[in-house]
Amino acid sequence: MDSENYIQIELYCKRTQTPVEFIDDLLEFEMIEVQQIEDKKYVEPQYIVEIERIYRLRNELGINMEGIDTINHMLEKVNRLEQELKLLRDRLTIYEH
Amino acid sequence: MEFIDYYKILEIDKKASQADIKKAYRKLARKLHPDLNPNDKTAQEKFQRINEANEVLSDPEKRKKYDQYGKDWEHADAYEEAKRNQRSSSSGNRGGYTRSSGTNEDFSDFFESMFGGGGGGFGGGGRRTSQFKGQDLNATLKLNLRDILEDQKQTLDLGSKKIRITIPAGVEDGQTIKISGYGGDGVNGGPKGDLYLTFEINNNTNFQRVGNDLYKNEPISLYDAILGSSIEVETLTGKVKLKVKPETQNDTKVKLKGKGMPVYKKKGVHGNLYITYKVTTPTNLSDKEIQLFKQLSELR
Repeated sequence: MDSENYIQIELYCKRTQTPVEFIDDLLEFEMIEVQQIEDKKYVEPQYIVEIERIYRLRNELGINMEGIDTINHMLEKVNRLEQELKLLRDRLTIYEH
Repeated sequence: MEFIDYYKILEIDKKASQADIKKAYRKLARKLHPDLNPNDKTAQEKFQRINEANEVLSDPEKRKKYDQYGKDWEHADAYEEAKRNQRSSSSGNRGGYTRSSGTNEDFSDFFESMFGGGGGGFGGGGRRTSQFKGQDLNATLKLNLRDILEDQKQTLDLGSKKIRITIPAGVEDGQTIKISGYGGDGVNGGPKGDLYLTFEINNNTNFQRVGNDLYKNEPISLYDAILGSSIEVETLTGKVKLKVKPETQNDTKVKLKGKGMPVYKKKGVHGNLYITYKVTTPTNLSDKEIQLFKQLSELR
């Protein structure tokens, strides 16, 4: 497998002073996916934003992983509902015209 | 520049203890944190305000100065000067109240004026706990509906620099895109934050947009509706000829395939345009017209 498009977790943690245990927690809660290439673990670049967001929630608000997992589900739901609301509002304008 | 009541912002009493302040701040932070309120500008602005209030009130020295001058903060310099003269001291640092030449987006002008440069973002005692990434910034770009019919190149002025971006055709109203690395400076040598650009699409046309489809009402005469006709209809990309079938009913809907909005990031693919015929009945009828309509009704 080609490691060119992935970010090595060990290096990322070292550079950003992120504890490796935190990445392990994310894996345990299936919040990110990692790729094992030879003996190193890698993460796809798109997950970096997610890692940073969760890190902020944990460190700045003191929310544990169970809480963050719940928040993620609720945010997804809110997002879906907001999109649906927007679509319905747009549809409504047709009949209000 | 207006006075900001930090106590009111944190919803606490002026006699609040440090523990009360911490508790109030944490409670509001959990409610307004930007990661819990994505795309909510009001929450983000409020979050900055509670951060600022905490920065001042959780620091005993800053709180003392804030309490001392309160609403008269504008005259703080003069007070300090008078005090210094009374003491007849020849030198000494007035402490605080240095005007910052730079700006800090995290803090209000009021804060900048009273305490100088900003101290830090989220976290106890005003220290940044996010040690590697700069602050994410939000901006809004206003476009007209016709502007997004094709990919558009725009130059954004970010103050210190300009960036060129290509806005894909068909972006939605309220859609946000991320431009990596154009946010605030990183901390401890970390990467820069990101810029989140939200599009505000102004629909100044008589078309209604629902997703990729467009809707429009088209008035047709009673005679065209009954006898059938060929009419010209305006679309967003020019006029098209439409055949109105004889005996067309009011509110009949016709679909013009591919005449809607371009589909975001799908080159050459478009939504549809739905035309609803609105039959208009003639007014100010002449005697002869009335007579003819009567004759017609008698035939039914």
